[in-house]
Amino acid sequence: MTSDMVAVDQDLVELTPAELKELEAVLTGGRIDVVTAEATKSSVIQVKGLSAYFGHKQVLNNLNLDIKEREITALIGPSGCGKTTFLRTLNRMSHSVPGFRHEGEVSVMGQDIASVKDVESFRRKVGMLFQRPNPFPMSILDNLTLALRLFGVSKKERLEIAKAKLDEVGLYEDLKDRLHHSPFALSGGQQQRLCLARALAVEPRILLLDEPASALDPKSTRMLEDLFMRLAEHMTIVIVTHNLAQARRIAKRTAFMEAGEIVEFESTHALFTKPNDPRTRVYVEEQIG
Amino acid sequence: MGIARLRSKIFQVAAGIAAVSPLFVLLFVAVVLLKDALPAFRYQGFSFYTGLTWNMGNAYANNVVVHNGVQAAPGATFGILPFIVGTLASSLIAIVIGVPISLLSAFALVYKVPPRLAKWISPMVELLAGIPSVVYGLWGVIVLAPVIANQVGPWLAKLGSVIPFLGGSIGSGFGLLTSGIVLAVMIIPIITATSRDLLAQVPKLPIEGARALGMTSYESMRHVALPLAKRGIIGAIILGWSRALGETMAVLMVSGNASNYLPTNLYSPISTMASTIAALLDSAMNDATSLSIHALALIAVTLLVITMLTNLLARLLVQVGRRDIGTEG
Ligand SMILES: Nc1ncnc2c1ncn2[C@@H]1O[C@H](COP(=O)(O)OP(=O)(O)O)[C@@H](O)[C@H]1O
Ligand SMILES: [Mg+2]
Repeated sequence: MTSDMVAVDQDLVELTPAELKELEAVLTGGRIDVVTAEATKSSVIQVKGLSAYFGHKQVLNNLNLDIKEREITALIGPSGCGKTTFLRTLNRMSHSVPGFRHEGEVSVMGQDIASVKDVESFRRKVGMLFQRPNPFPMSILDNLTLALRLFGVSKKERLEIAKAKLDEVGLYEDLKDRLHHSPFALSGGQQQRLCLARALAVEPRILLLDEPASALDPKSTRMLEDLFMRLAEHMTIVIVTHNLAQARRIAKRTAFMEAGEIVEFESTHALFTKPNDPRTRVYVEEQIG
Repeated sequence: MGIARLRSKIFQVAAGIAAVSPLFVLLFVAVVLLKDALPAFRYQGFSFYTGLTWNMGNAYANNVVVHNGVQAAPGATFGILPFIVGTLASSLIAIVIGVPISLLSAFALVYKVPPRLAKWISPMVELLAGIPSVVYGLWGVIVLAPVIANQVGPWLAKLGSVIPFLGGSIGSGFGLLTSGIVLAVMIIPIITATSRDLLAQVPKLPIEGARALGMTSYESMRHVALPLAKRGIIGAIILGWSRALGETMAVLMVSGNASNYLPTNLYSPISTMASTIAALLDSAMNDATSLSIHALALIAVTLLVITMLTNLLARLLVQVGRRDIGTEG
């Protein structure tokens, strides 16, 4: 890899010295993908005319949006507007609800979700974190290795992955002597990070986060946010959040949804400072109060 | 005012009596049975449990024999080992056949069958649990026994060279295997209904987590839902088992009513403790010394103790199982 392959983003101009230094380190490490120009970032999720129904009730109405790879996209909106349904449509979790059906085209990593045959393999590429931590009823270590074991990864490799992922979410030092203990004794924040490590263990390329910090204290929330930002360097993250400050802190772009529709989808900065749609303005003003 | 207070008083007393009555009924039954059973134990001692021969003696002889202060008809000897073995073996077959089917049905009802259909199927499970055992027994006689004798038995017997217990004479179709299958059919609804309720109580969130991770619905059930409901389900299994241990009528109809020998293969005629009591009560009444009745009472005591123990264990486990689900969710 040579440096002339690096397309330079205008954003670089605005980098702080610390960020520049980090960038340099990344570049010399050969990780040129991190600075690929905005324009060449491809859409990893493409949604065209998505409508979704639970029985006769329409929950999503003609959604259109492209989600770019290796950045964080936030979904905000009043509760009941369909954020969770949309998110869970992306990994076909919605489809396991009896009576659910969708119309329109949703392409995830180039594959139309309607034509996914092997849902299990598909979901391995699309990890998910839920509103509340949901560890499995088994040891901390087993939580991390169960899926790997079922997918046929060797024991030695499983252990290595488990440790690496725990380390990645900043839990290894705290938990290395308690790997065989129950995860239920951990704090909420630790449990959620464990669930994140569990999701990461199967090497997904996309992470779907449904209000992942809504049950956590501010400190744990910040810790998770830092993790998400770091992860977004090499994976795509879609986060549903009711916490607008959180969207502002971490999301590159934000979609505002209301009543099953996407009202506005903009760069986060633009959406919060100069919203185009009056509905967005009202919502943002009310939430920030 | 006076009437209202009186009513309340009456209600309180009635409620109090109703509340403690199960305990008294149990105590009463236990005491009466024990008292009735004691002479048989004095006469026979521990060989009651190890002996193979059950013989109520010559009821028409003029002389009675006396042993340990207990009068007995000449030749009377009471060994119930074949009945114990018959009880345990038939109920074990019931468990081996019934548990996998029950768990699969419960799993299907909770996770696989569309809720609208499950709403119709689920009550039928309870309905099946309520069918009188004599109906199952009749099914065993008319349908199952011939099938065992003519189709299943000859086919299984081919494996006799590998598993000796499967080989040998198949007989009339009335025996251990038929009893076990009838019992299995009877306990399947019980275990299914309880496991279904326990599985339905398992929190959805960990299961969704497993599905989102790319596990199949079977894997999620096996590794995530089942451990959460495990102890409760073990309780349900023991509940079904204790039902199988005590089942009388259906077994009596299909067991072949053997005594004095242990089953030699899967098709041997057997008797269980419960079916023996029912079968022999009539002739035991002819024993002028009453010792035969005492011996039957001792069988009843034995069965009561075994059933009480399994029930107690079952309830304990179901309780603990429920608690687990509550806290770990
Ligand atoms: N399993 C379901 N069955 C029927 N309706 C549902 C189901 N899940 C969600 N809904 C409905 O879909 C709408 C959107 O819900 P949801 O996607 O959870 O919104 P949000 O996450 O934005 O709060 C709501 O009106 C909700 O009642
Ligand atoms: Mg939601």
